[in-house]
Amino acid sequence: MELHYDVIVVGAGVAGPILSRNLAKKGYKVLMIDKKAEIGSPKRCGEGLGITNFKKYDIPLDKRFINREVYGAAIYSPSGYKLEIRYNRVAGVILERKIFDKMLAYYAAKAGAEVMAKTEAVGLIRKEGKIAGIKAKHEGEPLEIYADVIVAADGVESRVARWAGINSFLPPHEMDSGYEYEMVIENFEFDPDLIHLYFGNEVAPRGYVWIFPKDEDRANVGIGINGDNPKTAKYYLEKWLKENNIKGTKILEVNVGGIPVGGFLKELVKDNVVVVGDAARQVNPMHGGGMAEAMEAATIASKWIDKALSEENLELLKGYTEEWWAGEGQKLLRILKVRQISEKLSDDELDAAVQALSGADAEKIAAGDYKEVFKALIKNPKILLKPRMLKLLKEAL
Amino acid sequence: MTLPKVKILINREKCYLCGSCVAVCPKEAIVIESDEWKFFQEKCIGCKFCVLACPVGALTAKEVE
Repeated sequence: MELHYDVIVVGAGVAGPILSRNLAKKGYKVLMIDKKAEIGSPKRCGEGLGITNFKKYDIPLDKRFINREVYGAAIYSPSGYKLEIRYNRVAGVILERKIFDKMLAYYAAKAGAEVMAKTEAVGLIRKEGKIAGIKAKHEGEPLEIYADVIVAADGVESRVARWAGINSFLPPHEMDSGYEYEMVIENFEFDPDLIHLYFGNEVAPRGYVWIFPKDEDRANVGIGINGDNPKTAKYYLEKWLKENNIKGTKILEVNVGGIPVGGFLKELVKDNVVVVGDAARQVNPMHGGGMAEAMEAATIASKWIDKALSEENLELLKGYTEEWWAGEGQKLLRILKVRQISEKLSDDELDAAVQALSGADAEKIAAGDYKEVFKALIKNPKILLKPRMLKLLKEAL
Repeated sequence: MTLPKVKILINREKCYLCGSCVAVCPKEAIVIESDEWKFFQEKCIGCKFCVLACPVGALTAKEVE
């Protein structure tokens, strides 16, 4: 079967549906495909999203995909020192991604986009040396989907970008390996109004263990570790659960996935192919969250696709690369630099950092202003006693 | 420098098809298509990045002649 669209979007995670919705709203003929039979499942996500993103990206706060509202975060150092950041208003929500993603696709469909689940991209259509569309399969039936613009929103394992000749190879050092249980937690204290992050070189090399509460006694408990670690993410999560006497006897879901943390794609556009979200490695390299980053990229990309199509000049697509790199890209690079320093801290230094940070600094952590946090740390008497750490922090500034 | 030639073996019972191995493969020697994990020996350069990156340890590398 042969189909024709203005834009074909491969992947209905977070970036794909936002971009599809924005362009359908502008009146373009958009088709979004996803290989999954059920959009949103299986997910690879801790499911925490900051509350401000809903308004910013025009997403309704629909109770159907919100498990629980959270008011802040608690950060734990290796020896158990705690830094709590708590607001008197809702700071974020713990989503149910399998409903959230489906609803995002629904909003795209309502705006006029066509959506096809269980439809997998298998190659590019090239005509006269140009990329003309996507070859896909739906229940084994071949489809030829012609489009002026092809959007690769196909996740960490993106193939579309590589087919187009974009080198999106992700070195294992620039990926975090993730493993997560949704489980019932018994006989372990945690405030269900906060997210909880546990740091330590023995706890989670380069990453952290998280508890994202979905109920008072039910949560996503997951881990991210450096992707080139000889041990597995599963090994470290099981170890942490055991050390904390948390029984893994009530596991409701198991999630597994790779998280790009660094290695942001330089080339976000090639000819008429546009790459967004995890496929473009657009993830915060400090906390590994990628939903807000995907929304931001999709917003910028849809703006430039609109420009390129309305002015019939595909060269304008490159405006997305430039705009993303000038703003969001620079921000994420700064965060990456901070991460590269913080991952070198010993357990002892992590303890000192958590002890040293006051409530005011905590606000800055929450706002993602890591540079200010480092500045505050450098002046702290506890840190002044640690020359190696002081040197590392100064390098980051 | 050439690395020893390896064959990547999968434990299908352990694999979640998460795609981490696909992302870290420099040569597209691993593909997930139609819910199936596929390895292409002729493309593999023996770096074993996939084995390291797998969150559950579902992959192993076996040296081949």
